Amino acid sequence: MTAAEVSVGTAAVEATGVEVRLGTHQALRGVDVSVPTGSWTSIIGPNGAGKTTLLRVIAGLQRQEAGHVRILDEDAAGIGVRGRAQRMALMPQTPNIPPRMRVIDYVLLGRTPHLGAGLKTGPRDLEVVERTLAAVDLESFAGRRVDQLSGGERQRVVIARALAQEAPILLLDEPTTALDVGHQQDVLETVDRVRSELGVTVLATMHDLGLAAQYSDTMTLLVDGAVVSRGAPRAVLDPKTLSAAYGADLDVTDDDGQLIVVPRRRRH
Amino acid sequence: MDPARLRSSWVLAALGLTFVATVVGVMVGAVTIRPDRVLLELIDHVPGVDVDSGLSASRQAIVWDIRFPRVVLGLMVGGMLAASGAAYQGVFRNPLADPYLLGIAAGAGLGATLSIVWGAGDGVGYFDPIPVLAFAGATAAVGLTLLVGGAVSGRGTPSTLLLAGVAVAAFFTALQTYVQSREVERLREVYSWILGRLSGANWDDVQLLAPYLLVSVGVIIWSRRALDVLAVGEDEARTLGIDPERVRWIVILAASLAAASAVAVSGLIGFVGIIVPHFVRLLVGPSNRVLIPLSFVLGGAFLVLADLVARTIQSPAELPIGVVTAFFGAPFFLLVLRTRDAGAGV
Repeated sequence: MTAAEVSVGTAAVEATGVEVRLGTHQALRGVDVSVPTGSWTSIIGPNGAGKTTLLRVIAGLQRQEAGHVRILDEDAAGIGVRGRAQRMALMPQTPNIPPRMRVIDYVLLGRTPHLGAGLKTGPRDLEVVERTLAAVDLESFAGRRVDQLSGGERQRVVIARALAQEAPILLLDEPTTALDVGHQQDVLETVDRVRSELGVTVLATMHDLGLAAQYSDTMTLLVDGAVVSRGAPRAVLDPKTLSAAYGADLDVTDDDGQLIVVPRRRRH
Repeated sequence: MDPARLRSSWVLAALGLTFVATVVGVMVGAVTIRPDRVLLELIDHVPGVDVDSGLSASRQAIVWDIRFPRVVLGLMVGGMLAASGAAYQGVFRNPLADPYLLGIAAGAGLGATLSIVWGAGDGVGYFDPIPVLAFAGATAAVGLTLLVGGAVSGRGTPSTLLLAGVAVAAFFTALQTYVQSREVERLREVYSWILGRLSGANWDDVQLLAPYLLVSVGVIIWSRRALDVLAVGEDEARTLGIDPERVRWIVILAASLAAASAVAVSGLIGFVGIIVPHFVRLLVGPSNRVLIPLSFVLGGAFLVLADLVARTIQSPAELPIGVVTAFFGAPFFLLVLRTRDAGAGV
């Protein structure tokens, strides 16, 4: 399935009433989230709000107690492991990098959901890998070892693996954690470029509110396992709501159309 | 840039080494037989081929009835142990995993010990019960480990499985030690079985083991690419379209079958399942699609050469082969570890 086959206007991912309990902790309490096809939707919220858990439910890695997930207008419960991997690719927050694996072999893993029973790769899979490595500007890295790359390069390799899945939906779990400002921008620009070129739908959990505002079409603010607000960045990034959600004093300023969230020092 | 794949040069080198090990293994012994005669004699046994090796009837028997089946059994057992070890290491993502991890050695040891102390191991008639009881003990131990480890209910994680294996192994070893301590006059026999041996191997053993080899190694080799996907962890493997529990189950069952059946005919030959896959990994990298087939071939060659040392160094007495695999294997392995990309992970 390619992105072009997905009809525009519907939701690529639609979660309704999702409830998850992790041990005794109620991690998600009836969460609804809708990801318009072709959009960049971000889930924001303080640590422990349930952002990653929600992403894991959508990725099929976490079973929900209640609620439904629809992927490309299909009930996710009826889609198998392989089918889901053909529809969505996940870029994990802390990917496991197997020791001594080379970039080409790592990115080739992204082809897995398209391979036959013996998982044998063919020339077409190598073409896709070459193309995705070019898309993240790492053509010359194919023979390098992933565990010897810098943090920024490694993150781009992980993006390349996700892109090699050729899935119409891309899930990103905190894609910029542990990267410096330059590499954060680099990674998000790369994702945004392929999103517009290939028409991929992006659903990302984001830590940095300013970056989330810059790249997102819509945002969902999650606090303590429940949705507090949703909509365009300008509507969600309301200083009062945010300050309450994060337990902080936050200011939102509009700098020539770009929203900037700054913490303000508390004066006693 | 090519992705990791089985290069024909590696396969040829591994098969070449195996061929040399086979010929030398048949050549060397109490009587040395010239390599050309060995080859001719072996070719003579190819159906439809009739050549004269120039060997006397008794030497023909040495080649075909004594040494060659022993070499073939060594190839099979070594290959199965090495493939099983590589598979366990892949599925548990743990470089220390070996074929005896889930209690196979302890279970087989108990089965063999029982069979020996009951006196059935004296070779009454043609039926030798040691392999049967060793196999039964090994499968009972693995079965218990899987059951206790929660794999059966689907709730087990690899680490609970490993811990269950440790507990089951300790339990079976305790039973085995108890039985053995009550029957000290049989200690020598038990001990000799535990250290492993290929002596007395014949074509019946080869025939007995062959179907187990085909099934277990076949499944392991078929699953080797899925193990490469599993290298990124269970969650990520799932998002790549692989069901990690299914792969884990299939590979554990196949690797356990390989180890249990190999052990049943040869005793507890240690170290092959660890040293051979690591050696191959250091040479050709960590990709299971390359590692597993090469480990299978080279495991066989390694065991044949170890057996050669075991039966010649103190001739006519035989050293237990497990002593040889560890004595020569360990220093060699450390040497390779030092000279190659050490510390690079496994």
